[in-house]
Amino acid sequence: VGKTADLLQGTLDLLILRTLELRPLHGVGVAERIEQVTRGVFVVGPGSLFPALHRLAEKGWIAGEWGQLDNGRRAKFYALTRSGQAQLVRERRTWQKVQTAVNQVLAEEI
Amino acid sequence: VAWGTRAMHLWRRFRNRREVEQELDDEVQSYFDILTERGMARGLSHEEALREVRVRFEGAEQIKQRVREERVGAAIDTTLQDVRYAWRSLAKSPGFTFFAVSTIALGLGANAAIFSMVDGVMLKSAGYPEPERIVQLWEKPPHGSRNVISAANYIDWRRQSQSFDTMAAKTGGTMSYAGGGEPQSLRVGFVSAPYFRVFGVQAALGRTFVNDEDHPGNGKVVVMTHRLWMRRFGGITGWWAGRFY
Repeated sequence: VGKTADLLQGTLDLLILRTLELRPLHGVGVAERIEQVTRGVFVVGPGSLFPALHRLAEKGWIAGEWGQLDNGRRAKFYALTRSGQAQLVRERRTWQKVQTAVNQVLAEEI
Repeated sequence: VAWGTRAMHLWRRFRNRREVEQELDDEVQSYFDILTERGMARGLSHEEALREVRVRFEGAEQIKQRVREERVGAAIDTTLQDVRYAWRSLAKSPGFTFFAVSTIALGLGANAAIFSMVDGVMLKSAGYPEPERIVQLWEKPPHGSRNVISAANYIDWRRQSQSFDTMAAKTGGTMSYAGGGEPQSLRVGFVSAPYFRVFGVQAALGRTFVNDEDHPGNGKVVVMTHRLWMRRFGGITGWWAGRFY
């Protein structure tokens, strides 16, 4: 197990929203998906995942609903809401701004 | 927009506290169950999979606590917890509680008593004009503090004094009223004619005493309090066939 990067404040929200944009997922699904896509750079434990999911749900950006897995196990699936989609657009834009700014600082000739 | 959803979540949580907690519990449990099943799918035994999950992640209770802290109105929850905790602590040591509560009660009581005195004596208006000009006069014998004033002395005081606008005498007592129904004992004051002039008040209905009405040989006159008039005579004006003894 390699060392994983610390998540920037607020980045987790963006990652979750983006992950749920594709399709509704349960908690384990969200964590696995983020870990896979980032090739293990971000490992999201339940201790940060659950507070984030509930925070996003309270803001109305995602909505949780109980469903069933193939093996019959009950799990809560989270889906992106319409206002969540709008929020994702905003957060994407903010993120790109931050990224560009940081890159400019790093690329500056000394 | 967003706070509408938040208010809804908050409301739901306070209405169905148990249900919401149960749901959070189910959700976290389902998370760990799925992780365990994934481990078993990789060929681990049930125990090995459980142990792996337990080693890798924090416990369910910690996770749930973090979610609770993250929610809107977490401060209200915390306050309620504090109140419940305080209640339990107090219930556990009744001796301490007794003394703490009595101390506070005595403090409050003393405060209320002193305030009502100050309020009654100094702050509240007397209900008649210029109360600061009204004094009570007593007679002091050589070896005592006060004594009853004879009617003749009062008449002399009134005639000879130049310091007072007017002066009235008053003594208390009880009389009975009989006029249909049960005879009733009434607390009365026997006063000289200028009594109501001292306080500068008029009767709400009818009249108070006129000059010299207190002289011997004149008819007996009463002034009724509003309360007695309402209670005994139903607030009706007119004549009553009754007697005061």
